[in-house]
Amino acid sequence: MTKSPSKVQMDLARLGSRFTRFLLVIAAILLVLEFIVHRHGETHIEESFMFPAIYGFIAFVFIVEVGKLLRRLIMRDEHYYADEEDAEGDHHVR
Amino acid sequence: MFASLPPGIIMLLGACAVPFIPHVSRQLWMLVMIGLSAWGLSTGEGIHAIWHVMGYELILYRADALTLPFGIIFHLAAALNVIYSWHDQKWQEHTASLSYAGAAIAALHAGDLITLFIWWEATAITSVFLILASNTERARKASMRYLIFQVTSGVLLLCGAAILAANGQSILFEKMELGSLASWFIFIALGIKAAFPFLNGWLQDAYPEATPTGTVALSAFTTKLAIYALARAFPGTEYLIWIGASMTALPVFFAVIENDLRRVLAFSLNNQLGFMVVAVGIGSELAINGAVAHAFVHIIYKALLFMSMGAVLHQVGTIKASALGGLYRQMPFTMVCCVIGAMSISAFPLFSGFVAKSLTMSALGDTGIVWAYFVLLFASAGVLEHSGIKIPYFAFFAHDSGLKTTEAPLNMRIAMGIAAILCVAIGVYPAALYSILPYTVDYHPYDAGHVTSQLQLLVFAMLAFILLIRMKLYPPEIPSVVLNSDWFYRRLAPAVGLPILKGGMIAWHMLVGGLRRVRTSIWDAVDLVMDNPISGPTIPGRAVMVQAILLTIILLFGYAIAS
Repeated sequence: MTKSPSKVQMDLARLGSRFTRFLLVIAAILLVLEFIVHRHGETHIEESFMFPAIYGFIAFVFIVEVGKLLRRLIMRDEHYYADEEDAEGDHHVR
Repeated sequence: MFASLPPGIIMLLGACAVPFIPHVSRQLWMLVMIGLSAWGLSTGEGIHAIWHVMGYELILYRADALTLPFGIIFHLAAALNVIYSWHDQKWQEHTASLSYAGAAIAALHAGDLITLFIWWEATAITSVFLILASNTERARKASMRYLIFQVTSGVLLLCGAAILAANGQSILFEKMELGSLASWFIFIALGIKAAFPFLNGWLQDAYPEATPTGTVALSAFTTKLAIYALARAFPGTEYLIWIGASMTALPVFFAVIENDLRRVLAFSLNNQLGFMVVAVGIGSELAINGAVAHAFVHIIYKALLFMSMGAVLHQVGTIKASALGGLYRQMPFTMVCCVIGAMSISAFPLFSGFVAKSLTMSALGDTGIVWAYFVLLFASAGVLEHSGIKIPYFAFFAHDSGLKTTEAPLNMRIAMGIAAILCVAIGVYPAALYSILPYTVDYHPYDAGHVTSQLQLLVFAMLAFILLIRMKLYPPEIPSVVLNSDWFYRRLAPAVGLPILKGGMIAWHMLVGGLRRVRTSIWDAVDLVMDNPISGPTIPGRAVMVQAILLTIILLFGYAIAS
């Protein structure tokens, strides 16, 4: 389906790239701060270089990937319960 | 006059008048009732009302440092809900939500298990009408499942209280050790309402079926009442760290793939309860403060998120992520409020979630239970994923859904605005929140190390999201149902139980039929003998035949015993 993108679609794309640039700037600042600020974590591992950043990144990707796998296991059609309930409902009325 | 009247009861009494008051003035009446009830909180700490009944001392009104923060936030949530549902002209839902909030507040101030049980069940019975108010077949069925769970919780609580009373032990609602049968009954009762793993099905099942306004009310009270009760009865119970940690982590995966955005928030609610349960499990002063602070701010930002999604549902008529998108231009105010709620729940510095969650994380760090600490850190990235990003992204951005709508009604915007301001205000000035916590703890969430750590976690997790979206690796939203623990009783139990039940019925019918056949064949044999007499031309009848048979049997027995 090749449809020319709507105005809203273009706005969203522009907003998206602006937001990405903003985040990259913040990330760069955090990287610089890593050399200046001493982060004292609750554990020693936490104090290693950019630990929260790496942990957050990996955790996020992990959650999404596991979510995708989980879809195969526990995702059902939208009417999964509804079919049964409708049938039951009819039965009840009789 | 209100000094000895437990807070909340005035709201319940006020709710009785709600059906008879015309619109607008009804809303004002409800606000006045909430105000009067809140005034009762100023009575101060102590036991203010005892009712002697049937040899029991029922403590109707006990106030202390633990009830105060919950009392304040429950009143605030009730007031926000009145404003948010101002446009609704029907009385039914208003009556339910005011009495529900009243029952929850009264439960907070219950000093013994029997009083607690009464209000515990009252919250169940009043809140179910908020789900029924949706007026759909789906909602009706979900509400009945919800009610079964809630009432079961109350019955278990009563079982615990009854065992204590029967053993002549105190029925005061105080800290107890997990071990005796009674304590386990009470623990499971609280666990159902706190949505422990596998006891949580009712939450994700029923909350998203309520009306847009009803879900906001539901999100505030029941589960946080359970957190209060856990903090009262089981602080420092180590099981709670395990249970809480799994509550933070597991719903995260379900929330990623759930399509109904209010159901995503219900999973998120479950995850947030996990943080509070872990804090109660730690049980230190810092941790209990963490649990209470978290419950306090959570009620506000979760209400804000549910309000923003309720506003979208109210305006557009759907809350399926697969059908939404690009609403930021049409509902800019709702979008901004939603983003503030999202940033609060994700614990961005300067937002309320940060100042509350930090307490729990620090308390957990102090205990040295490293695995739990990293599970909660992982869950923090999960919160960002489903509540921080998914909710606002799919509702207001993502793609152009082509939906045409306008901004939410003014009253909804006012309620959202107040909640959003509170989220930021508490984040910027946490001292006000800290001053009402149960223990005086000198804690400063804003130090450079702490702030940069949290920002690193959040910003790089957001970059991961952007990377996944750009590489088209982020799963698209699909109209679907995600199976949760309610599947066990909605599908597995009927699938396994019905055949067993049917099998049992068939076996029973076969048994009865078999016995009937045996009886018939005996009578046939008797008739045969009667029709073909061997002893002479006449025979006296069936009765004599039966006697003869019986005597023969006795004779045979006699021989058997003699030999």
